[in-house]
Amino acid sequence: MRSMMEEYGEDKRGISLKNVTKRFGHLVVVDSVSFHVKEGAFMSLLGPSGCGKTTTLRMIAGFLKPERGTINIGGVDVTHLPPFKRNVGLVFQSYALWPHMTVFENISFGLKLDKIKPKAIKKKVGDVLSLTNLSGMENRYPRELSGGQQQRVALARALALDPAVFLLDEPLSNLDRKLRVYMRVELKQLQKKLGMTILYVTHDQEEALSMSDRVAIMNKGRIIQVGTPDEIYENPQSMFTADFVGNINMIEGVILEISGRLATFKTRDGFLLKVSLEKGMKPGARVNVAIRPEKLSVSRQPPEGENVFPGTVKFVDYFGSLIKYFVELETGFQLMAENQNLDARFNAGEKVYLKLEPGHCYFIEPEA
Amino acid sequence: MRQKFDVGKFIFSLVTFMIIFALIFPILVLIVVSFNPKGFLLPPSGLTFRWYHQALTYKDFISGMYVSFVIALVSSGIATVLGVLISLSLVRYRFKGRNLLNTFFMSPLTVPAAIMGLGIYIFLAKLGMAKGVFPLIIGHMILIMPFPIMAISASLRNFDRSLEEAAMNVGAGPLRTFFSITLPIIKTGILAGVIISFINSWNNFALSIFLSTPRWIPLPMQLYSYIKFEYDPSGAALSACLIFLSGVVIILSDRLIGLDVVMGIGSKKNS
Amino acid sequence: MKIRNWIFRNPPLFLLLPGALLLASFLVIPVGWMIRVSFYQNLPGSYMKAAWILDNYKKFLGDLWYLRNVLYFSFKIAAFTTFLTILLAYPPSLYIAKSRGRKKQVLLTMTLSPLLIGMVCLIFGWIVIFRGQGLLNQVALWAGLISEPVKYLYSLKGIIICLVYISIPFAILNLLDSLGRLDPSLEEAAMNVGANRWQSFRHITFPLSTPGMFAGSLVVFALNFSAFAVPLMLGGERFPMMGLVIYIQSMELNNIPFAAAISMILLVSSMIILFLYSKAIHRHFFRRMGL
Repeated sequence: MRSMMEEYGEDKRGISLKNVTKRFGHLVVVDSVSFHVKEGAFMSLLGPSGCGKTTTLRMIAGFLKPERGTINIGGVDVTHLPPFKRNVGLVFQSYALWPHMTVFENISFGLKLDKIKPKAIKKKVGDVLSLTNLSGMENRYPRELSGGQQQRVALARALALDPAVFLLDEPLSNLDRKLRVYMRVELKQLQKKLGMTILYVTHDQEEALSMSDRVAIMNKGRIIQVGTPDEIYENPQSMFTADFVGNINMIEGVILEISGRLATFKTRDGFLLKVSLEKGMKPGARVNVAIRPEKLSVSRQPPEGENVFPGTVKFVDYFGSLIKYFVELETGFQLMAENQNLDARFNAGEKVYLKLEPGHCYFIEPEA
Repeated sequence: MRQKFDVGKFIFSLVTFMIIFALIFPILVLIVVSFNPKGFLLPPSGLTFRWYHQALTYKDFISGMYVSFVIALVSSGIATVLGVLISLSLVRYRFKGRNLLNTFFMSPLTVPAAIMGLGIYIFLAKLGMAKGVFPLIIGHMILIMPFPIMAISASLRNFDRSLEEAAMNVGAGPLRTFFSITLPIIKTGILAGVIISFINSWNNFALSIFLSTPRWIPLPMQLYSYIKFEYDPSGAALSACLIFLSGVVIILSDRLIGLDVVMGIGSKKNS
Repeated sequence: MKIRNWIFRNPPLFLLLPGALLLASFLVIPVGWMIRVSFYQNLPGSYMKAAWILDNYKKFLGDLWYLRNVLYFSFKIAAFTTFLTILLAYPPSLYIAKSRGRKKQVLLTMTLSPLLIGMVCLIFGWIVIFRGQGLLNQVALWAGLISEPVKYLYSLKGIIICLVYISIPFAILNLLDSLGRLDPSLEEAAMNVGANRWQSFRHITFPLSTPGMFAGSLVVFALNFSAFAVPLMLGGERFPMMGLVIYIQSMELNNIPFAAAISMILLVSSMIILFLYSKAIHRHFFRRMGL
């Protein structure tokens, strides 16, 4: 409790939401959401379509008013401020570039409204254009630019006003894959260089995990978990997170006994797993064990050690750099294993052995 | 949470509603007068159906309705049939001069009513058919031809061709496919076209005035002479009847087709 | 057999044929014939005689009275009416464009309903409002705005009011076309960079609605320049607009060649005006906006 208050207290900059709630009619779209984006940090708001992340973003930008809660940006309580009085730079999913204005006019529009002198405007526009690698494009119209260039103009427009924070609403989703990967790197570099505070809304896990300092998982209007990408992936606190981020094998069962640092876990189908102990796990507890597919090794010969399971390969999914194997165990239970595309390759119908290190899986409380 | 009073938004809404009120004001006035025992002397002093009775038993009005109905029926019928053919060829085939032809078929909308009326009159007079029912039907048909074309073309553009291909795949020839598959699917467009063209013919005044004879006087013209020479509230009653009829048409088209289709003919539908 | 082959080879032409023939026969040829008739000689008391004379054109174009009081007069009225129409049609269009669902449908129906109700009824409605004991005067007298009834009937004011009234639905249709296609995120982006609602409207919404305003003004001007029902019913012969003069000359005075000549003058001047107007607008706005 105290550390949380310290976190909010010391760091007055950045974005801070407290108990923000939004209703559309009877539907609660955003349910008492609280989180904090530190100054200079890159935070992703990750969740499936309809989870309320875009609504949350629009409330921070000022286009929607929350029923309850407060929003702080850069130390200022903006909850009741109209969007044109807030100090945020918004990059729209569709870029929202004004078609009747040149690149220069698009970027300088906000500066003109601030009554900045033409000379200073020119310099500023030149600066942001070179930051986004668009120098020389001043007099082009948006329709003359490629998708990637348009996206960068949208970013430049936000940069020009030196806002306290940046809000990005799935900005890369309209770009093709190669360009997307390239822009991710560019964006991240820019952020580090300028110390931008970014809240990034996306449904793409790859983006969220690779770019963020912290990730907030959202579902059905609620924040499910907040943490570093590593924590989210390796330590999901709920079944939703474990299932939504990456792939997961989920096994129901009960803890039989504990000896030392290991717990013996009996699955519903009857096979036994040795799992590293986590605090709070007692014998007799009904829990789920979550196993990431890449943690299951596949081999033709039975390997040494704990947690070895024989089975038959039912189905092979080839992904180029990875291969996914759907393996059916003797009990009929199916596990998905993921291996790198190296020398060992297995075909459907082959008999194989799966092995799992006790420390490579974790317990999750079953959903009530 | 404080709710500030939004002055700008209030003024904007106020102006808008004042203008919209002004748009329906004459219509309201006619309706009120038509029920008013003292006729044009407002404020209304009661409720009466006297003027309606007078209007609906007035022989000139009755003959006017008959004439307008016949002309509108025939001209919108022919225009719609032609509209189907023309739309099919304009939407489904690419050929040189297609855009030009499209403009050509839309041209009645751009020709001023007086000029079209005079032109058709002179030309038909030269052919020996000065005025009467046939000139009226021809004139109306030309006038309203663009409407079914616009409505049906819109329907055709949204048409999924694979439905026809599936029919042909199971053995239906082109004509059979057209009547069993295509026609039913574009029927909303056809219906919208019929309604809009019928209404435009029924209400037409400017063109009719050049082509009518004492035997064939459409309703709008009857109403005009009545206003000019007699001017009593039964004119308002007739107008109110026509207004109610338009209301019925609006509701019917909403049920059958969807109001946005009918209203938005020619322009893209808004999301 | 040959015809059948031709039909199958050229389906579009076959389909178009009846409609095209009809239109050509009864629109194109009549208008063409009217050009010819405009050179005929009018026989007072009788019909007309075939000729090639320019008398009819000289009668109109050579007479300052006609030029000033009919042609220029019609132009002034049409231009003013168009301006007023677009001005008054804009707020409802904007409001409706921003509405959704049932409200939008209802408002749309209300604003476009004059299109479904005949012109005669609508003008009659205004006559009732304008008349000496008419509503407008009664209300204004009661409110103390005027001390005696103002004459709207048979006056220019009345005609302009009526013309604007009839034109507004057309303008709204065109404006809605433009405003409806506007991406709302463009306005949001403006607000995000600091524009308040008025600034966002002025710099973003309004410029982007220009195509609709332009198309609307074309339609409305053409409609009003050749207007004839409104001046006929509300002004008698006191306000000779082009369309009305054509009617009077042809149907009442039976001077067909003269009426034909006036029609030609109307068409040509209409085209010239609209052409110049389009040129001006395109140069000034569209090139800048690249729309």
